[in-house]
Order: sequence, then C-alpha cells, then structure tokens
Amino acid sequence: MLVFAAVAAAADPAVVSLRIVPAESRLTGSGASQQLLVLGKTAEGAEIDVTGEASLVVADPAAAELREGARVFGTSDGATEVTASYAGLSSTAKLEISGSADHRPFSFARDVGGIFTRRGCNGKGCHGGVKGQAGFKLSDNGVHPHDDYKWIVEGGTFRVLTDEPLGDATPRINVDKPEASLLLQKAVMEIPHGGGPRFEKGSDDYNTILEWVREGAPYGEEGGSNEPKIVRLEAFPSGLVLDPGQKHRVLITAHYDDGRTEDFTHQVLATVHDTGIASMSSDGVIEARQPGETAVLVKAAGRSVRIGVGVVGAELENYPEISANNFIDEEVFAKLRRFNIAPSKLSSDEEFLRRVCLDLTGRLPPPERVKQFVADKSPDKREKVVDALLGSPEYVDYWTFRFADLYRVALFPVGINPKWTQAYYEWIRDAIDRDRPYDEVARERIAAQGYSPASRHYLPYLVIPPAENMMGEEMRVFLGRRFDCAQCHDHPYEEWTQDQFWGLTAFFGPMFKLGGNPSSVIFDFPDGKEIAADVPSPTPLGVFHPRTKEPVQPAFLDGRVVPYDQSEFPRRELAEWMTSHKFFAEATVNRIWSNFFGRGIVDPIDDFRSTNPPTHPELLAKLAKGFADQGYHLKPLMRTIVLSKTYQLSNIANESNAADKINYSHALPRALDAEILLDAIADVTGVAERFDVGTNRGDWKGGITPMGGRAVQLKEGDLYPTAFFDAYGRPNRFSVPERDTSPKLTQALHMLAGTTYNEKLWKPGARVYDLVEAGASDDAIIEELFLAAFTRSPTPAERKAIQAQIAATPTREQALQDLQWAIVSARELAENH
Amino acid sequence: MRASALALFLLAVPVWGAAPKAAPPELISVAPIGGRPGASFEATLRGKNLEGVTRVWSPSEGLTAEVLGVESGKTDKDPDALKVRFHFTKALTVGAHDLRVITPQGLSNAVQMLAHEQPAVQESAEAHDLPRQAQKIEAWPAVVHGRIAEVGEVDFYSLQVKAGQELLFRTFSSAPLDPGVEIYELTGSWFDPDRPTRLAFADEPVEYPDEPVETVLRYRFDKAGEYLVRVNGFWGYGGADHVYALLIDPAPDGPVDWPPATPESLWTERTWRRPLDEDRMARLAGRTVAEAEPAKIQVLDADAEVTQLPVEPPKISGPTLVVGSIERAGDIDKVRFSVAEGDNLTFEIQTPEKSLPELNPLLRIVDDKGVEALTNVWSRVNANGNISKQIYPKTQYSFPRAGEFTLEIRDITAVYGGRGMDYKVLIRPFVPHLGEAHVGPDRVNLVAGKAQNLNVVIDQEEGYEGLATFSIEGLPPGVEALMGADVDPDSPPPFNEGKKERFTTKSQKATFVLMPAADAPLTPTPVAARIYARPAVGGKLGEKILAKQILMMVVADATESPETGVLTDGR
Repeated sequence: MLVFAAVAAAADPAVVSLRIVPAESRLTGSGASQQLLVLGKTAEGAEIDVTGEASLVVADPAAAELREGARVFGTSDGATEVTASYAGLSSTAKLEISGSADHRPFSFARDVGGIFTRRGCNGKGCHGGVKGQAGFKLSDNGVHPHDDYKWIVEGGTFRVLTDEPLGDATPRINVDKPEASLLLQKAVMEIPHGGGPRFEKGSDDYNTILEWVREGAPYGEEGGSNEPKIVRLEAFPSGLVLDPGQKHRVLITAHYDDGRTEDFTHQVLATVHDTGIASMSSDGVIEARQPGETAVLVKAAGRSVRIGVGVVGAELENYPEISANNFIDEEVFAKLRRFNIAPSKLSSDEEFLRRVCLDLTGRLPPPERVKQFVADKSPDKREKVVDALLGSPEYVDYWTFRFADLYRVALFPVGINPKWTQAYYEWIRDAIDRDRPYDEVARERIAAQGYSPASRHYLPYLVIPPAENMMGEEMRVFLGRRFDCAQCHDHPYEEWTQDQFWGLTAFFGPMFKLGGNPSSVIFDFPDGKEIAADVPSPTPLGVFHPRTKEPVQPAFLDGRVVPYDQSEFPRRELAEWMTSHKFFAEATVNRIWSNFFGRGIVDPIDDFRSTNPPTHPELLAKLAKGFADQGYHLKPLMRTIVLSKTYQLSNIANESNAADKINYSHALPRALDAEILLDAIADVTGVAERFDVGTNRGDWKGGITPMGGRAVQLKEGDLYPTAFFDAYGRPNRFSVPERDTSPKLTQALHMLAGTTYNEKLWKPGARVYDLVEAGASDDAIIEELFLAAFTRSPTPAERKAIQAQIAATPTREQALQDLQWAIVSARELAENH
Repeated sequence: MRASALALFLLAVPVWGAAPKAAPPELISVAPIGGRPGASFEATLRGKNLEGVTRVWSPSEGLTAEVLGVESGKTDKDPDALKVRFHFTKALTVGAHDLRVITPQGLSNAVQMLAHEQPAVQESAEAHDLPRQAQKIEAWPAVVHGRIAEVGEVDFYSLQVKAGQELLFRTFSSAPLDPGVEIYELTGSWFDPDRPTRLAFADEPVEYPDEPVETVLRYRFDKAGEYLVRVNGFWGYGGADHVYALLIDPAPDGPVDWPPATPESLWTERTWRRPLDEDRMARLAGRTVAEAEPAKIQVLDADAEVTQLPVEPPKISGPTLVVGSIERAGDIDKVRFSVAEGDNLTFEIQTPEKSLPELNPLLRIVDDKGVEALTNVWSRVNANGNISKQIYPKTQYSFPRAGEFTLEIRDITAVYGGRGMDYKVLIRPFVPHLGEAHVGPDRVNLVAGKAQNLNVVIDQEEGYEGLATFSIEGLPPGVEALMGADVDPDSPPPFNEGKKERFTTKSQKATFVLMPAADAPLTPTPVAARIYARPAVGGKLGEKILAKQILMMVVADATESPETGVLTDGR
C-alpha cells in the first residue's frame, strides 16, 4: 500500500543531518509561493519532519519572504537562499524568483475552479456527481472548466448524455448585483444550502469570486492549446509510516505539460480514507492517530494523487526470525516487520493439507490421505502433495468451476443455447486442463469472432450487448479495472476520462451477429462500416460519443488511435494490447492470489485504482513479472503461492496480528462456496448428490446429472435449482459474479430441515452406515468423521463429550446420525481456514 | 416372406379384429438401431398406434422384417412397443435406410435403420454406469449398439489399445438422444483411486441448425493400456427411445463419411452445398424452355491469380466460375468485371467442404470508387424491430449503370481461414427458370372415398415469367388427381424486408385434389407417386422436372366397420 519515499522513525530521535525539500525552487509570477519541508535524518536512516521545529531564514529578504512558517513567497526578481536550522544542523535551499511584478492573468479554471476543488464543491458527492446536486452541475474535480463556466454563467440543469440543459436557464451569478450571486449566497449560507457553508463572507475565496463577478465574469485566460496544462500532481512523500501522534507535512506539486512545476500544497482538497488512522490538515500536515493503514486522496485542477499512510504499532520484543521460502515471504515478512506485526506459526500438517486441498481442488482430503500425510516424515512432503494436487483431475474440475464463474458460463448469458454453453465451458476446461497460457486464452476471448466457443459469451440472451457493456466487462475481467464511471463523465478518482472510455468502447463498436438466433455468427464490420446498409437501422450502428455526438474511433488507454480503416481487426489489436499491458498480469495474479488468501493484494480484486492501491505493491509486481516471464501459466503461479510460508501460516493469531486482515500475518477463515460446501457434505457423509436439470422458471426439465458427479462439475450457473445453492450464495452468473458467502437465516433453516443436511445421514452406502454395518466402534467412527470433515482427529475433550452424548442417546443409530449432523453443520466444515 | 410375415402377425397380434385406432402409426425409435448385412436379429420399434401393424416396410432392397408381436403402451411416455425380427441380406447397402410400418390406417413416418459393415456388439444388460463396471469391447472395428435407457444414465465401455493407436468414435442415434462421447484413462486420482481422468470430450462437430447431432471424435492414444469410452445423453436426458450405435474404428484419413451420405436427388437452388460446375448453365436451361444453347462457363482459379499480387485482380467476362479458398484468416480474393447498364447478373456460391458457420462467405461487389454496390448479405428488420443480417448462397442484381466492378470474396470474420475453406462463385447472367419445388408431406395416407389436398409450390427464378404445369404419375389404383384450389392463410404485414428481391423469388402454387374412389383397392404397400413440373414459355413446353416423390397408401375409413377394409397383399 505504501511507497516509502520517506520513513519516519520513532518520536524524538537524534537527527544526524538535515535537508530542505525542495532543494531548489523557481517562483514565477506575482504572488508565487513554495511550501518548504524540513527533514531531519536519524541515525537509523529514517527522515522525520522537523519543519515546525526548525528556524528558517531567507538570505535576501528583498527577494522573498517567509509566511505561515515555512511557506516562502517571491517578492522581487532574483536569486536567494533559505536556510533551515535544527538541532545544531543546517541546510540550504535555493530560490529563483521571476516575473514577480507581472500581474498574473485571471483564469476561471485556476482561480475559480481551484476554489471549487479546494472547498469540496465539485466532488463526486456534491455538484461534481454524475448529475450534479440540486440542479447545479460542476465537472468532477474541475476537469471540464468550460462546462463549469457555462453552468454558472448561463445556468440550466445538467443532463448526463447530452450537452442540452434541461429547463430554464438561471445563471448562478448576478453581474448587476454581484453580492446577490447564488454562487456566493449559497456558499456563505445567506440562503439555504444543502452542502452547508463552504467559506466565510470576506474570505479570500469569497473575495476572489466576488471580484470575478464584478469584472463581468470573464472566462479569462483561455487555456488554449498553447497554454500549459497540468498533467499530473505529485505528492512528496508519496507514502508515510508514522508512529501514533506523529505529524508529517506533505508537499503537492503540479506538473505542467511544458515541464514547469508549481507548488499546489495550499490549493488542494485532501480526503483521508480512514480518519481513525490519520488526518490531514488544509495546509498539508498529516497526523497519525492509531495503528493501521490508510490513504489520502489529494485532488486539484482535475488531477489527483494518492498518499499512503501507515501507522505502526508498538515495537515487539523478540520479534521472531523467520526464513523465507520464496520472494512472497520476503515481501510479506518485511512489511510485517516494518509494522511490528509478528506472523503466526507455520500451520500444522493437518491444517495445511485441508487448506491446500480446498484451495487447489475444492475438495476435502480423504481420511486415508490425511493419515498418510501426517505420518510422512519426508521434508518435501508439502511440495509433493502440491504437485499431486496440481496434476489431479480434481484441479481441472475446480479451476474450471472458478473460471466458469468469472467467465459467466450459464445458459442465459451464453445465448440461451445449451450447446453453446457447453462448448464455452469445455473451452475453459480444456484451457485449464492443458494449462494454456492465460494471455492466449484472454486474447481468444476478447477477440472472439465467428462461431467459436468463446464468442458465445458476446451473445447474452441471444443479442450482442451494447458495446460499452462488453468493453466494461472485458476490462474488469482481464485488467481488474472498473471503467464504468467514465461512461458518463471522467472518472472521479482516476485518470480515466470519458474519451478513453468511449475510445476503448469503439473497439467493440463494429460487432454484429450474422444470422438468426439459433445460428448467430459474430463478426466485426470491416473498416467499421456496415455491410449491406440497405435498410436503415432503427438505432445507428457504431459508437458515438454521448456528449459530442461524434463517431468515435478505437483508441487504447494511452491515446493511440486504431482507425477502423487501418486495421484488419481492431478488437484483435485491443486483445494484444490488453494482454501485453502490465495491468493484465497484475490483475490476473491478484485474482489468483485472492483465491488462496480470501482477499487480493488489491481488493476488491477487480477494482484496481490509485485510490485502492495494493497492500504489497512490490509483491504484486514480482508476482506479475514472474507470471509473465514463465509464459502466463497458472499452475506455476499457484505452486509458488501455496509453497510460500505466507500461505502456510497457521490460522491461530497472536497478540500482534489478531487485528491484521490485510498483511497475511495469519490465515483467515473463508466460507466455502456453495458448490464446494455441498460436495464436502457429500464426501463426509459418503452420499453423493445428483442434480436435476432445469431453471427456476421450470425450463429444460427432464435430465439429471450422472452418478458420481459433483456440484463443482456443474456447467451452468443458472441451472440445477436447489434451495441449498440459493441459501449459500451460488451466483446465477448473469453479471460478473460476486459470490455472497455471508451467513444467512436460510442457511440455518436449511441445516435444521433441509435435505442436504438431513437425508444423507443413514442409508446404505453412507459412510457411517457402512462403518456400522462393518462393525466399526464408536471411537473409530468418530475418528473417521473428524478426519473426513475437519482433517484432524478429535481432541480428547471432543472425543469424550461425543462418547458421552452417544451413550446418552436412546439408540446408536440416532446418536450417530446426530453426530454426523453436528459435524456437517459445523462452521469448521463450512470454512477453509 | 411377406405372406409369412403377415401370417405371423395375424397370429401374434390379436387386435386386428378389434376396432382399429383412427390415427395412422407413428414411429419414434428402433433398438437396436442397426446391424450387419447378412444379419438377422430381433429389435423393438417404439411408437404410437402400432397395434395394427401389418408390415414393416423399407424402400431398401434387402431389408425385411417380420412382426413378432406388440405390447400396447399406456401413456405418451410409454408408447407401443413392436417386436420384430429384421433380416438384412448380404446385399443390403451399407448406410442408413428408411424404415416405416404399415397399419390399416396407413403408412408411418420413417425412422432410420443402419446397415454397417463392422461387427455389431450389443450393450450388456449389466449396469455399466460406473468406470469399474465398464463393458469390455474386445476388438474393433465394431459398432456398439446401446441405449441411454434412463435419465442420468451413462454407458462405459473399456478398450485395451496399443500405443500410438488412433481411433475414430462416431455415433448414430435416434432422434430424442443427443449423444456425447468422452474418453477416460484409468489413472485414479489422489482423492479417489477409482476416478478416471478425462482425456477427450466430443459432441457434434458443430451445433448448427440442420446439422446432425452425432458425435465425431478422433483420438490418438499415446500409451498402451486400458481406456474407457463413455456415452451419455446431453444434460442427462435419457429414456427407452434414446438409442445409439457407436462406431469404433481405426481412424481413417479425411472427412468422416459414416454412415455414407445419400446424395441429394432433387434440385436445390439456395443451399450452400448444391453443385456449381461447368454444366450449371446447361442444367439451368433444362429447367426452362431454352431458345439457344447455354453459354459456356469459364473457370478461374482465384487463388492462383491472387498469388500474383500485387498485380490487378484478374478480369473476367461472360459466365465464370471462380474457384478459390480462404487460405488464411483475413484472405480476400478479388476479380474484376464490367457490366452494361441494366445487366442482370446472378452470383451463386457453393461451399463444397466447410460451410456455415465455419465458413461464412461474404461476397461484396464494389464499384470503381470502392463504393459497395451489392453483397450477399440480406439486411432486414426482424420481429423485434432490430436489423437482421444473413448471408445467402445466391444473390441477383440488376446493375443500374454501366461500369467496372470488383468482386471480393472473403469470410465475414477476420479469424477463419485455412484447410477446407473452399468456395466456388458462379457469376452469370440471369437464366429465368423453374427453381426448387416444395411439396409438404413425405407420405399421404388416403382414405378411400375421401378427398385430400396436396399443394405443390415451385419457385420462379430470376424473372421467370412463363408458366409451370404440374402432373402426378404413379398414383395408386383407384385414385385420381384433380386440379383444385387452396386458400392462403392470412399472414401479418411484413417489417422492412430490405432488398428482398435479391435473395428470394416468386413462386407458383398448384393444388391437387387426390380423390380415391370409395371402392379403391387398399394398398398393402406404399406406392411411390411422382409429381412433375414442366415449364411453359411462349407456348412451348419444356422438359418434365421431377418435383417430388411421395409415398401414398389407400386405407379404409376407420370410422366405418373394420370389415369394410379388406387387407390384400396387392399381388
């Protein structure tokens, strides 16, 4: 999560050197200023903020002056220096001042738009929201100043997909009576304002706007093509690790496209994600509150930047020394060490075996295998079992199931044609079985055409969906990004713009289907032009920018345009671009990682953005690089993960890591998915489930899965309706599935009265029934059940309690049924831990 | 044989004297579904209204059967079961043969019966749903006859194969069954020592309208050992009519032609596989009253010319058959041609090997400015109000102005190309002619004394303005065919049908009234009546064109006493 450009050590350390940031500043124009940051370096190498404690002096007071502590303003052209002194140390920074007498031309974008950003008026939650607020719309973070100007000066109510305003236009300013401008009256609450007061009457911001209106509300400096534009914001430091109570100032610098920079520290709006962990003042000082990690989002001038903040816990005595199995451990353990979190011990053999079996194959280890594994004394037995599992047919079943979820293999999303669904499923299964390079699979799906199995996913309900929907899903699945917000407006927190959204969408614009519903062949119009446009389409074909109404040409995120008439198949070029982009490998390894840890290094796994950064960026980068280097095969990636000590840590927390949920200091319990749980119950009881074909609507009834089949092998997400699946959150896969594994009342009811939990307990072929028939003792049955369900033997206390319960039950059959019911209903069975 | 079969039937089926059911018989399945020429075996035909079956009938020489008895069904799900003994002569042609039954109410629909040269293996009566129960197949080639008798049932067979052996698995099944085939290796797994590992899965090669559902799977076994073959019904459907034959054969090279396909005997105009050859003009001339010798067709090898690129595409004139292939994804073959104002040209496409949806030939004609003048894509508005596009194997166009045009042939996708992607495009002037005939039923059961309509429709292609005359030959004795009239049903107004004239045709319709006399002799076996069309242009008659052959029977009126219909052998 953090980029540790600056690391603050414990409070009150001895400083051995001093420096001023920035070491050189160029102040251009009237009133230009630079916030300075004085950093002291400790003997341990950490840098702490001593700006508040240091004394600063300008060498030439005629050239510049210090205000508000360490903010230096240029007053006359020339060069000078600022010297900071602290604890007997000193450091000097150079200043160059130019244009100090030049009146800086007014710019609506900078001077008024900056106020909107700083005061939070144009945030997503206020007037910068998609539809604005109370009829008044501003572009989010001021990215469209011309639009903002129009809404203020001309008035009118904003509409999402058109430039045409709704209703009568009522200007937000009053040039004849500037003080009566709505813009000012609302902001100072002279008239009711849902957003509360934004500034005070007579404040600098109030006066700036008032003066602007008095001047006739000009747009001012045009900001045309020759005018430098801000291309990014930079925060220094980009990440911080602080002790509770410690403060640290950050500098925000705007970078212009002509290479110039400007201090923006005092012109930004900062939002702290978790204010319980840290806060940030309006002048850029972050204060740590309690241990944890959070992020600060800083916005200005249509740009944003994120600062990671970590607050460390108390230093641990006797921090354990742990060797690393691979780079995963090196990264994870290093961060745990920085945060004074001790990892848990290595898991027991039983704990490891259960976890790795469920994670690699979705299946509980059989009792005999548990006994063998525990008895095996070879040092590489974990490697051996991992390799056996990776080579098992159950691995193919399970990972086909996982990807069938992600790829939405279900009847209705794949053209309402059972054979298409089957072909799509088998295509995935073949890729898993052969461990095909994942980039190849992704390209095949993104650029699917014709009648290929992968092309069928572009025919939900037998129609080609809107191009923007297809684009959004492919980006989410393969790049882990959600671009949807940018459909109607520039993304509020990212650099994604509406133009980029529609540029990407245009790759999907020429898609069409040939033939009727039972025979649809997917193709893309060559050159993006419709073939046989003999009949005017009721809706225009192609992709049009919703605001400009102009047709859009395909363009990558980096702005490179792929004109339709210069590419044989633009969507194939998109597939190539996507799978060669680093986003692809990162998103894929993150998705796989989450299967083994219950959360992604970026979480949610398909919501990569600068404001949702990775908890372990270097680890993510190394995993992604390794994945790409070894040819995008999934098995080696999984092998690396499960053979790390990080994966093999126990679920038993210690004092330092009990609260940790994101740093992999110990294993966290994860609810089994509905299908996996059902198979687990079937395995424990020894009674397999068979599934009737059909939908909840009653279609396609009449078939049943073969004997020996498992829930994890079911192909379609919207078939085989059972109350169990509904209760335990099986998705219907109508959209990119997000499984809901949270506990529900229906689960409890199903445990009490459902067939799954109650009708597998006593019949020929059932595990316990057959054991009884074979003359097994109670103790042997208890042992077998525990091994089958929990991959462990019962504790003496458990054994004793169960035996007592059996003795107290009128019949042995009833007692053993009760025991089985208790075991299959146990949380320990229903979770991977 | 027939007399003895009848005698057997009379002995075995006591229902003949009872009032027969009013409806003609309907067949659903036959099991086993075939046998070897020279074989004699018992089988069960399942269907409705089979209680009065007098005969099992096939037009194929060498396929006979005797009726052994019938078990009446009680419900739709449990229909009648007719026990028969089939006799295949050694001369019986290998392939699929139509099989029907005859009752006093007439002739049934056809089910298909397979004659195969490979030895037959019958599915074991023992359960073999699980790998460990697999039925051993000792030798091959062989055809395994089985049935997915219950929902959720699968059939496992085991084979001992040599290393490097390649086998073909191909099904032939009856209608309700949609079979799939899987191959497993007996590996066991870490979790389950009995679990086999699936090596291959196959369903039909391409699931597409009108394509067969039969499974074709070739598999090369790298290692020697025991392997399992699993046959299952799609989605676990099954039942008594889910019958299959599974061919296991050392894989032959080339396309699988099992059972051998029967060539089309009737004219088809708008199908992708109809033959387009150098005699096409002559064949078209045979469907009209030709005034002059048909023009000669030039043949152009488009691929050979294309290899000379970047030179200009070759220019053609006169009727030309462009033969080529989409050799790789994105391949576009081009030829140029000139037209005079008002020229009427027809563009026909044949896909001899691969066809839709694996080869989707897009034909575009662009003018000298690159503007699209014509394609073989028909755009129209469908019932949902959306644009629908489909490619067609025949397009006709009247060029409104003279000029030079380029014809482009490509697959409509950018991803298909390579082996089997062959095409033929015939560019020719209009030849007004009688096209495809459409005659509804494949059999007619006429009730003595009761008239029945038979509609015949024949297409008028490429502006054919002559007439079509119709005649029927070979009617059963006592049956007359008179001209009649039928009433067209109302149809809803069409949506925007686009350039319909480029892709469809007008047609002529005739209605025959088939009138069996009240005393017309009942037909013990079907009579093949032939319907002919004949072009008539400018007062001249062209050659007779066989439009359809229909099986007809004359049966007694079931509403009357059963004694009024006297069954004769007809000889």
